[in-house]
Amino acid sequence: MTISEILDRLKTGNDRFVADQKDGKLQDSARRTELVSGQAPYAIILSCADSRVVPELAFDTGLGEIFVVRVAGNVANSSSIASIEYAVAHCGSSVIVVLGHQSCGAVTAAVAGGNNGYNINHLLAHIAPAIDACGEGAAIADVVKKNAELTAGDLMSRSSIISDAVNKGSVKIVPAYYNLDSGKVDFL
Amino acid sequence: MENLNVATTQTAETQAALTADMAIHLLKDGNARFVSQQPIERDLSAQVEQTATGQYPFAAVLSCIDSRIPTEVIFDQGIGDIFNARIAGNFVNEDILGSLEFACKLAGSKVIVVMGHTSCGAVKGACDHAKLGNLTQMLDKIMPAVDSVQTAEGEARNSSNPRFVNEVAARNVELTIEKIKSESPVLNELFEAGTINIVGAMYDVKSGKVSFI
Repeated sequence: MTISEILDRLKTGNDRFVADQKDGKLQDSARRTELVSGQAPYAIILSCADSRVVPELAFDTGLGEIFVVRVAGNVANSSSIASIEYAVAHCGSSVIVVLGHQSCGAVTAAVAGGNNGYNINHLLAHIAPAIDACGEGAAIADVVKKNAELTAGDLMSRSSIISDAVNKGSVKIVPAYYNLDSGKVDFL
Repeated sequence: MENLNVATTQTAETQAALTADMAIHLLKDGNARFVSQQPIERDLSAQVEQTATGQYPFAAVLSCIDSRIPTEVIFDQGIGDIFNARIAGNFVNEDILGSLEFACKLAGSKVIVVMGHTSCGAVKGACDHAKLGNLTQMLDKIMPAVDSVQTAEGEARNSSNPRFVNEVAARNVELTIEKIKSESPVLNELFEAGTINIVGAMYDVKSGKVSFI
């Protein structure tokens, strides 16, 4: 599949999800058997851990179609970047979607500030650049979108495996925004 | 325990009524439906609307990014049911621990399931001591599991040996659970108080079955 075919596949899958017309394909035992020896997913989604943002449902994909990295706030750290490198270098995935979402709890907590304990503080620190870039009083939605864009940039600047593939044209990184109230994904 | 198999959208009330054991039961039942190819009919659009203003997930799952293992599909769950952290090799770092703390402390999940799987690419990479970019550092997180699995004399300790690979994956789950307890005072406190349980599981990519360990 070409990059534009993959993006079309994700968009039409999301249209089906929004219309509650999922095809539910590629989820049976025959598909499992096909994939026992290996996988070749066409896309990687870096998404939030939020229980309402389920990439495989939101894009109506089956087994073996997309890699999914999930961490609160869909942030890039060395491990999420390494996970994406694995997909790019070993599995030939060619679209990376950084998927933020409406009313993200991690972004909201980062904007609110305060001490949330060592681990959550560590997590929320990744979101600080987006907050700074948006300025004081910015809407959460704008910070979420900025965070997705800056995270896409982080993938480029912190990984030569990813940036080489993007510069060669074999991989594309796309920031996106999931609307919690409609299920619609807006590609930014 | 009746009505647990009905596709309901989790609310503050339904979540509060669940125990950790019931949450595990929901996941086991859902996986059995996936294996037998009898998923529940869900009105996902209605679930999107019902959860737009808040989430009340009953479980938090830490699993691998593998495209063959969409968590909600293999547990036959819908929107708002599972708080899901995914990283290649399903280990923990500060940000994953922060995500799990968020899931249990703030979003009210009753159980954390650390789920490894058979034929895991990240585990194979660790078994082979693969080195490449950021992957090198990531695979280091799995090395304690690699080092602690015994092999018979002459038995291969690399990805050519599926028994070794799958044992390492299971061991990695156990070590990750220990790490959650030792490196997250927040989660350890919830566990010690009996508010949450922390359990391990292995997914078989061939059968689709999840075995809780």
